[in-house]
Amino acid sequence: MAATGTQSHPRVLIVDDHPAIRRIVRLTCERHGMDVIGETPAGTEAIEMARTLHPDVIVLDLVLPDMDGFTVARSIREEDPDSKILILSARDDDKAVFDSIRAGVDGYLDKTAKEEQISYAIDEIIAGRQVFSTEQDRSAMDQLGQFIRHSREVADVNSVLTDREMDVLKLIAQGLTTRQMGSRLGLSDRTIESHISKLYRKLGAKTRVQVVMKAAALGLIDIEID
Amino acid sequence: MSANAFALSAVESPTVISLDESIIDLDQEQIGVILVDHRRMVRASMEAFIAQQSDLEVIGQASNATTAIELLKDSPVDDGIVIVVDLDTSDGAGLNLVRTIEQDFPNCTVVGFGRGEDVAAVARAFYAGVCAFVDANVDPAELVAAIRAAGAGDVVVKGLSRQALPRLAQEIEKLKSGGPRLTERECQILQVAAEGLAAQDIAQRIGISVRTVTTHLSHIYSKLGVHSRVAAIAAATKGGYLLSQPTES
Repeated sequence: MAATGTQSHPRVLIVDDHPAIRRIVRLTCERHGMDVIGETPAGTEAIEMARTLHPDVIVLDLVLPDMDGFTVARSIREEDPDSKILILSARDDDKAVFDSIRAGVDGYLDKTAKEEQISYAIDEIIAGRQVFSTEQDRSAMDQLGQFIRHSREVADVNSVLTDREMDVLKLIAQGLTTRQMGSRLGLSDRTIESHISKLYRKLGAKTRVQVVMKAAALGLIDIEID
Repeated sequence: MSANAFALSAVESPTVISLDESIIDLDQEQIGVILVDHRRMVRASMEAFIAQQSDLEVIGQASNATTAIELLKDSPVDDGIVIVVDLDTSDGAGLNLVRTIEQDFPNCTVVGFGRGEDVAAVARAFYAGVCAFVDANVDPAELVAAIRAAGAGDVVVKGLSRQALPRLAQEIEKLKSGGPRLTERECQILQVAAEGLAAQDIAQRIGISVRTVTTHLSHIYSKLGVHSRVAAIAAATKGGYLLSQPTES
């Protein structure tokens, strides 16, 4: 621990799968009197290092080989709500900024940021302030509106689909035939067909493919794309 | 002590400002606005600000939900009307009004305003049917922007801090997957139950069998996650499904 009067250096953890970016961030930090206490290309390791090293700030990329940065940020903050995170990402779309704010990060820079911007952001964050541009705040609020609208649609559909219809929906998504669904659920073909036609109507779809697409878009089912 | 003038019940002297007939002039692309707040001064200041906007026009004001509904019923056209509703009512009357409008006047949109800190309440308001939420502390320009956005069918939040965003998103997510959703019949039964009636009397009042009433009640309990009538009434009132005071008249 730093004694009184001694200047303690901010301790930084760098998480990015590109060695070149890690190097740039490291040099930036070092030039501005910060200590880089760790570097990692992977999310799992980042979570572990955050837990053991307690960095003052974590510079985090959004696209990592093992998991996305939002998940990493959320896990780190669940463990320690006071941890401070600066996103440094090649992504600069509104959705990425919104999801980052949702994950509770303290700042967001895209990779066109200049060295001084990075060091300034880290200083601000360590001082307890968040670093977002007016434009980022505005776009995040727009995204919030869209997020609410979408959630409401899902809730509407959820509330009108019966449990049995949900069962059938999941089997449709797996590509089962009517007969297969019938034997799986212990129902007659006729009953399955009537569940399916209700699903068509409730989801506003005309074909099985449309049913699956619509349901996936609403997050009612997950479809795996190989 | 002042009775909450916003409650649907006990309407003493409803403040009604008659509908301005000029709204029928469809040549102008104007958005008709109805203001609902029990405080006259709040309505007056909102109106003064809205009056400065050439594309907006206050076509009515109401001090309570009953009056607001009357205004909507009397309106020659309800298409595209934006109703600005004070949600910050302890009895959930604001939220109830939002639900009624959503159900009976689907061509109208609602802009709710209240305390943005209470993100759970904001989330409930959106699920009740508001198109926009405006924190009561924002610049009036934001309210006007919200009215325009809601009129255009957008879903917007104004005046919420960035720090509150993750919490609101979380509440929205929570309600998406399984907030209690009472049917109209369930609300009706609970409303009567709140008056202290026995199942038999409820059945008689509504005109259904006692058995059906008890079935509905048990559904309501399980949806609200409670085990008693009192707890159900408390939970439903908080969620804005009920009026706080049973009607006496």
